[in-house]
Amino acid sequence: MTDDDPLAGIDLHAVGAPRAPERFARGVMTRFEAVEAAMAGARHRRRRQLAWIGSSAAAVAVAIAVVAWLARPSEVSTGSYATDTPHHLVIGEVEADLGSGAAVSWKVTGDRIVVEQHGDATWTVPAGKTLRVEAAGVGSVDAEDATLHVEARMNLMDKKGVTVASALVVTAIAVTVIHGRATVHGDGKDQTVTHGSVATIARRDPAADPKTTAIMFVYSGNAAWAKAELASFEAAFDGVTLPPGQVGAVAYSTGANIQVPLGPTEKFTPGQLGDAASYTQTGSDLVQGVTMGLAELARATADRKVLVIVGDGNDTNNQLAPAQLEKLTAMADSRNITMRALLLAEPRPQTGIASMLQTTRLPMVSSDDLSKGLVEATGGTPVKSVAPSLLEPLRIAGAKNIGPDDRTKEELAAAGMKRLVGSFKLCLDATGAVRTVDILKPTGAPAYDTKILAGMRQWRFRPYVVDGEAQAVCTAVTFIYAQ
Amino acid sequence: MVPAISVPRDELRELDAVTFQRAKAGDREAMTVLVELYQDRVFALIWRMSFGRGAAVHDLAQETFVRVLRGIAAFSIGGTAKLSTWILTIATRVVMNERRRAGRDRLELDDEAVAAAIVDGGFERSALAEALIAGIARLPDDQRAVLVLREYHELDYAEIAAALDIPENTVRSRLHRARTALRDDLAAKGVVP
Repeated sequence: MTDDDPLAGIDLHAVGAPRAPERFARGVMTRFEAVEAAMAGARHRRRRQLAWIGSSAAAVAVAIAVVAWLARPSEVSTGSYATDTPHHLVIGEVEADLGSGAAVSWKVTGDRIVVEQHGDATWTVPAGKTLRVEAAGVGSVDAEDATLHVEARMNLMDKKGVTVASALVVTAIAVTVIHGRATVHGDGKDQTVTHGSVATIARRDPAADPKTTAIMFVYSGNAAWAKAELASFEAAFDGVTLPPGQVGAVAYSTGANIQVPLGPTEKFTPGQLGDAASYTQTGSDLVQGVTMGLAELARATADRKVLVIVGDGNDTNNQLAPAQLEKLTAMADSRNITMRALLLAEPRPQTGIASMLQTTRLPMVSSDDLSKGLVEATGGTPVKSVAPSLLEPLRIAGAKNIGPDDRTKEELAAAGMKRLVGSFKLCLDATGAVRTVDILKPTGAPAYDTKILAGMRQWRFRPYVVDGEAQAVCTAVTFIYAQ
Repeated sequence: MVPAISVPRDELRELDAVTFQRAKAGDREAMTVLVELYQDRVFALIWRMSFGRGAAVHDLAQETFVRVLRGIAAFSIGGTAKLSTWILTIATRVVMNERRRAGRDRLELDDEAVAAAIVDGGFERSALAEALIAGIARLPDDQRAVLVLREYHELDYAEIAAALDIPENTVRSRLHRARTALRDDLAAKGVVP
């Protein structure tokens, strides 16, 4: 192709361009210094956060949305920004130097800007403007004509095997006033913080002494997922005693439905979630599922409410879902509903799993050990595994010795087999009732396995008590039959 | 309103080697000189690629120079790229990244910024300027970037290819498409034959 120019003869320089404003270079140097200082000061924190971000996402900042500042100044504008590297943010006349891993969303109304903040940021607020920084569930800071550093500390939970180990609820806010003064609200009181002083407010843990907990599981009802993962999810309940209160479940695939209506925890059994055959659709309408789960929890009267997302993190529309989930997360927070995500598949960033969870700041819990994940997500207690010899003295009903039926014995004889060995997992609730029985190692004679399972379900025990408290427990029972 | 300029050729000079070395060594005064020397070119590039509001251009220009100053230690003034080209490359990527994040391809013109950029030269020249801005804004991002870098900042094909991380042939084809589309647009408006 030649450089034949269709624009030849046209005065392209009829169009000028804006010149940099006066003192632009000084502004650049100020921002540069701030970035350098933040980098130096946050080096230790960055190492942790880089681990959090993971290798696949480490190269780029995670922009949630950067539209509001394009639209400013207007009477009411909103926006949000998240970054994994220090970033200078200008919102009208208010400026912020965001630290690594910080995320903010804001609403500007006239001269007032209200910011929801995670992570740390240094704010500069000119005279005539008011800034409120809110840290969900902990407190807020008001400032005018001031420069202040606000750190909304989050609990970070590292997680093996997932690129985005996640955060995070704000556990405390620390406010350092560099210039002017600020008022810190939280923990039922107001504090005026002046130049050079620091105020810290920690979250009061609402779960410290919960009376009842309402839990909604929002899990994937996608047929492929159910076939591969549902059984292991259900089995994971063997390892946790859910806190007293209510439990329900919403399954999402193409659309969502209430699989288990919110009801007493003691009535809930994992079997209510169904099996692979119960699920035939292939969609992943996660957002619909979460919406339905939140609606169910809104009706609950428990002291504490938890929504646990269980699935691979994808939505049928992964383009729109992050923003929608972000709104739902904010809604949950405003209703004091704790949201957790339990991933039951390897992350696939290209299809949204990492970005969605990063975007929404949904805390993920361990999925390496599903029972442990359920404990973390629900606030339940882990079920202790004990030796069968500790339970046998507590057994009050059911036959200890369960042998094969005559037909099985004949088949064994015909096959020249003289010995069958099988192992079974037995889980009891705190009252000593059998909760679940599962095959760990089959005997090799299916009819005998079935008879053992039926027989074990007839067993009853006195409560297993530790330090005066009845506990749910699991054990492994081995059956040996010889003829 | 931001005053408009048409960048004179004599402003397209490079930072002297001594100041560059001082800036590279972390001398804040030298860094400031560097910023001041290239700031108008960066502002002009960012504005022409985005036609954004003043505050948005300001923010992207600051972001560009922060990246420049943080990365200057790795830049060699004796290498294949001029310092100005390297800085404009960073500015280009900052804008393109921002455009991708915003999820937009076409631009939305800001009337105030457009008015500021129309060089005073009589009615006909103003009409041409308005038509040029509208026509350039209508181009897809990838074509606009090539056109601006070539026509207004005089980067050669190899430099544009490096800035946009595309082959030189792609630069040529995009430039041709951009020029043709812009010419057609101007002709349709009756400002050129």
